[in-house]
Amino acid sequence: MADRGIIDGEELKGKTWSEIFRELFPHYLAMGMTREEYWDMDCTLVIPYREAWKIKQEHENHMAWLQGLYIYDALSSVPIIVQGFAKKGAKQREYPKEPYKFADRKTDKKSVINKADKEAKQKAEMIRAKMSNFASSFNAKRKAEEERQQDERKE
Amino acid sequence: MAKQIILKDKDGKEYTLEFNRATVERMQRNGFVLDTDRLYMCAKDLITGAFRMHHRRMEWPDIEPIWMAQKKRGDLLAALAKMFSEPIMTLMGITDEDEGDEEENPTWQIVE
Repeated sequence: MADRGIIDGEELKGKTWSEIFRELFPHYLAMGMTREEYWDMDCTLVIPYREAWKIKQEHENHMAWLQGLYIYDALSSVPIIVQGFAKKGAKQREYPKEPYKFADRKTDKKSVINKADKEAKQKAEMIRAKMSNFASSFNAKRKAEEERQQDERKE
Repeated sequence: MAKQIILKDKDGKEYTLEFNRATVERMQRNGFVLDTDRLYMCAKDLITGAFRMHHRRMEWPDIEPIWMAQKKRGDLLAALAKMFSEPIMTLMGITDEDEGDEEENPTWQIVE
């Protein structure tokens, strides 16, 4: 699995593919995809758009963290005003060393997503197995038919 | 890049078979259901739908002789059925990583 879709599997259960396409369309428009790219062009284009979206989100998160750091530094540089209201002996809380990770907030959802992924994978495997069975039986039938025809011609 | 199947007719003219979301959506709107247990039943619509993206004006009477000129049609049909699910798989973040070497085939090939 290269990456994950933007909506977890549970939300898409019981929907037709067309419904899922339509439901996810606005999300990809928000990511900057055009109507033509989403509907008419190479269907794998959604993957780099999702990757780009993740990079953009991480960048915005980093910028928000950096801005917070500037504000923190600014407040720290005026100790008389800020610390004047603090209780005696109160320690200054340290600023986070890095931005909050988006993934941390989704930890509780992870198990649900993994389950849906597993089901989707099993389904894909099942389809794959059926396809190869079908192909081999088709080819066997065709071969038998050809042999029968050859025998008939010989007779 | 999405999977495509390139096939040639008797005169060597190439045709590109591929599915995008618009063709899959349109096929389903017209009542198409991919029945993996009875692929024969939906073969005609599946094949016609695969031509739709790159050869919009082609209908079954134009497609049928090209189809009948192919070898290993069972494998080809199975490959098309697998390709049909690609527009949804990419949305779900499921990619096909277990592609083996395709057997050499003189009349059609899968390209990525």
